[in-house]
Amino acid sequence: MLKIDNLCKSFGDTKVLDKLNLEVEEGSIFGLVGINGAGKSTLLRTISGVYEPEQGCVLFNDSDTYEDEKIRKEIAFVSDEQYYPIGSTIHSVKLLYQSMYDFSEEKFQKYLKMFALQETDAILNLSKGNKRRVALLFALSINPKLLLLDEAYDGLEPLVRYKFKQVLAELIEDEKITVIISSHNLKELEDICDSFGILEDGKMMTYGDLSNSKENVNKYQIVFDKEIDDDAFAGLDILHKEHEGRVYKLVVKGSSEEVMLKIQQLHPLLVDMLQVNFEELFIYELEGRSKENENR
Amino acid sequence: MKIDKNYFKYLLQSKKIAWLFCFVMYMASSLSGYLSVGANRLSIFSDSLFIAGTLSLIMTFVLPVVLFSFVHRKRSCDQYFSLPIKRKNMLFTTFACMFFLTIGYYLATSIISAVLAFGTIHSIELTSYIVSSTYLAIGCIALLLINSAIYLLANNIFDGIVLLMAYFAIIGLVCVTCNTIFDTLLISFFSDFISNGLLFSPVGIVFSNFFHVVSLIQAETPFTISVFSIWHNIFLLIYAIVACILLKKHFIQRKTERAEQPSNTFLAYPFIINFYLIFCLFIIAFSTNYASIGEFIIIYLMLFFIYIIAIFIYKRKLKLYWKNALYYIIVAVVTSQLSHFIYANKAFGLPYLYPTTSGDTINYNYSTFVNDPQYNSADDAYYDVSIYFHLSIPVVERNDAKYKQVFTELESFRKKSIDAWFENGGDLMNYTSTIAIQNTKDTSYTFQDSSSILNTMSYTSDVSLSIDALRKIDKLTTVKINISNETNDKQYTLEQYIKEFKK
Repeated sequence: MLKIDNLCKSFGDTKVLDKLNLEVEEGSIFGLVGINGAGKSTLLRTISGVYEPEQGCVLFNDSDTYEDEKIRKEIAFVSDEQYYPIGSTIHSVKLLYQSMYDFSEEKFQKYLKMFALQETDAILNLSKGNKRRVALLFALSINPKLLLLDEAYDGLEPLVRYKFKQVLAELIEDEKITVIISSHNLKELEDICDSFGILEDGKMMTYGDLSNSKENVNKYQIVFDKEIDDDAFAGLDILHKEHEGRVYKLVVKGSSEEVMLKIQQLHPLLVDMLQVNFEELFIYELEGRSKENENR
Repeated sequence: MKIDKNYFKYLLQSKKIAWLFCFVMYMASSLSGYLSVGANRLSIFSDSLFIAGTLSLIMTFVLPVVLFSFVHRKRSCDQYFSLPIKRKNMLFTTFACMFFLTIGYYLATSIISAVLAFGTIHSIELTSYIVSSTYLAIGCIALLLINSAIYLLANNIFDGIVLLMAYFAIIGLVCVTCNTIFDTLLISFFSDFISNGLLFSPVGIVFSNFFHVVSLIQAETPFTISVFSIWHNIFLLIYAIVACILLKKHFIQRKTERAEQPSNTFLAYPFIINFYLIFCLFIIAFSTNYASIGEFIIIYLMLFFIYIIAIFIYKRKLKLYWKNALYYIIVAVVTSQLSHFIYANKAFGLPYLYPTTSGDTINYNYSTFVNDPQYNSADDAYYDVSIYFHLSIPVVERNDAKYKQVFTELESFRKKSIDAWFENGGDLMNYTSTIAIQNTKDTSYTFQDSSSILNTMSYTSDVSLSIDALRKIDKLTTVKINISNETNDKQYTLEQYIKEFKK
């Protein structure tokens, strides 16, 4: 299990992570989302031991990932841009992973074939997508227990993404690995993640089970016989509201039964409830948070 | 702290072609002498050690750049600092790899060389070989620590290389500045500042000590501990200790996010730029202290331009910061005024305080070109007339009847030269005479080189010794006069000259 406790990280005067708390169970795929500059990459780097936390700690299976170098053998971090020395081939880069990790040649060959790569390929000559494949290849070959993917999913073609999803599913089932993926492609994350977290203002604005969260936020299309005041919706946790005449579209957080009950009390002509997708959930949560901040 | 075998193995295997190339370079450059037919094998052996040792010293600069550059790139930081290895072990292992390569190449080359020179190496040379190799190993440890620490002060590769070069040259700058200042304070003080001062640079210390021991091989001279300079090696130890402290701060405790940022740690650009600026301004101020700033404005402007470029390299922005311009002007004015102040006060009497009592012998070398009316030639023909002598006075006998008058005369002349220098505004363009005074000690060998010179002063001015003074000196040593023109070149003694040419 990954446990982050009151994590703080600043760059100069800029506080990027501010008493961040998070728990990710083993055997789950956690989708880490946030606006640009929210601190997703910083969080992943801190988890992988690249950055030293200023305060707080990151524990994986009860070991501090910065202090305990042994636990880092079980962590594979795929950053958004990888480093390969000039003239390096897949074979030459393999040396590093063979030397330092619990490298599996069998898995390496398997994923090499799956990603349609050759050991003799000169990495710097590969396209961006293929370089991503190389990074994923090595990450999967070292038998990680925690896989951190910083926008590593992006740039992969649909077929490879599909195969990669299958691999992740297998690893989750067979080896109970923990995966944290950060991406802006929320549609793709929705397919694969079972939990998520939205990073905002250095903290986890919201996090938890994806399905439960989606169930807890719904879109309601309501038609009234006349226009009504905003006060009528008091008591509802509204993340988003728009109306055109007598037709109202609301995104409300809360149990659908309770919300429907409150809406019925307003005697609408028609009420329609629709589920939100992950992208809409993300947008509306952020919108709701920024309105809260404005009202303060 | 321990060596991580896996990481060590990776460092060697990942660049094995480069290491192989280096090995071939060592062999080719060090052992090529053996291809000469009939050459002295002992001499070639000594030369091969010298070449291999020099290459190893160069490697102490190159290897930190090669093996630590991952720290200066964001992408490689992600890869390397997420490895399952403690930072101190990573540092120690990298260091061990650098040492292994540096000394490994040297030992492999020198052992092959020793085999090729077999039969010419005796126990004397073997001792020197073992001592020089051991010393080189210790010296390389120190240099690798120092150069790694300097390289890691920076936050990117380019700045790291710039800092290595800047710190390499910094002792030289200090020596040139001291030389220039002493030139003014003590007037033409020639003191081997530069060659002695360079021996305080880390690479200078290692190189000169190593070279001295290796040179014993060719000279077939037994090794003695006096070959080493204790004081210089104490400095080397201090440098190495400071380097260890810096390595702890700039690698083990390094913030990874420094990669690719401006190198703004105190000992990086902020210190180097200001240090070089201040010392360069001192050099200009003391070289031109007889003139006003206005006369040398072009030099100040050029240095300002270089300063702006340095700021640009540091901050990566081509922008003139008013604070920097103001700082430059203030320092330029302060150094210039300080120089003028010292000059106006005749360097507070320091030039007069020549240590005539040091050592065993005071040696005078005097020469003058005659344009002084007291040496008028006999006719109107154009002659080049130069007068010179060399005189040695034992220090303990300088006040004895034999030497006292001459010694007093020469001391008086020395002080007149100093007065004339200050009166001329430090402008040496009109000088006619030079008196060089050198104190020596009668010991067989000191560290600096094989001579026993303690200090040397050289006074250049437009005053010359009088005929009467020369006559007194002529009783102790021969005063020679050389007269030459287009067709004739003749040497006279003083009395011959006076008889023939005195009006």
